[in-house]
Amino acid sequence: MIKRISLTGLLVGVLLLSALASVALCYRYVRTLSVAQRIQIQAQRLQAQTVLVSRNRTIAQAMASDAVEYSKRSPAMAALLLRHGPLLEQLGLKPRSTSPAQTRPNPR
Amino acid sequence: MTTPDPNKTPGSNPSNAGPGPASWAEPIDSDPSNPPTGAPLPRRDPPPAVESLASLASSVRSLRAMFQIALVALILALAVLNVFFLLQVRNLRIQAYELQVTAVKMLEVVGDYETNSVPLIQRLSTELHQFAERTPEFAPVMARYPVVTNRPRASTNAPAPTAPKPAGR
Repeated sequence: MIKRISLTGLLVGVLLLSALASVALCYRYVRTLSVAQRIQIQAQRLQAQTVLVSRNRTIAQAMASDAVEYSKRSPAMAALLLRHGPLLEQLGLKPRSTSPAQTRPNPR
Repeated sequence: MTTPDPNKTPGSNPSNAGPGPASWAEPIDSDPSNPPTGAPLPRRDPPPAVESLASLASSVRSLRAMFQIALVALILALAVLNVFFLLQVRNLRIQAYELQVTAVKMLEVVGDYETNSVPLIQRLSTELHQFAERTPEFAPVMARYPVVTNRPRASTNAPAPTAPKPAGR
């Protein structure tokens, strides 16, 4: 009789511990979920900003590319672009030298 | 001679009963707790009270077994639930960490753009527009690009705000 009672008590104790663990895990899950949602909202906002940055970069790159193209005909534009060397390097462009005469003509 | 104990019940010990009514000293045949000496015990069925006691004990045993089975089932169900919660929390933490790493990278990109690139782009745009004002040949090229300012441009073709999705399915 004592054995059976102790087995029942043991099972009830294990059940109580499991219930407590379930409550703790549920609380942890809800907290982690709220943190993840906050991070996701922040990431969405940053992603929108990144898209905007990318679009602005593309526009600036196109503008600089047109300017570089025009600088082949205009030394004044080439001189202007030389002052913006770092930006052109950031945009993946290279400013031309100021004097178009320095460029060697194609022998063909 | 000792005096009879007045507290003793009559008939409990017939040999020491002493004087009294004749029915007290005689053995009672109908009483089962006082069988005649030397006579064999009669075989009788257990009384209904004993039968019900045995049935009750059996019921208690059965109920206890069922209770223990129910406890084990509940413990197993809770263990499965705990494992599910544990895996979910683990996956969620991994996803949140990856998302945070991505967010930090995006924050660096946006911060670097706003700190380093925006002033340079503004300066280039301003100078190119000024150059276009002086050079009519270059003006049509720059007309395609807006003047970059610090203030946000008022967009005429802004996307219409979307209605929030309903919470339920």
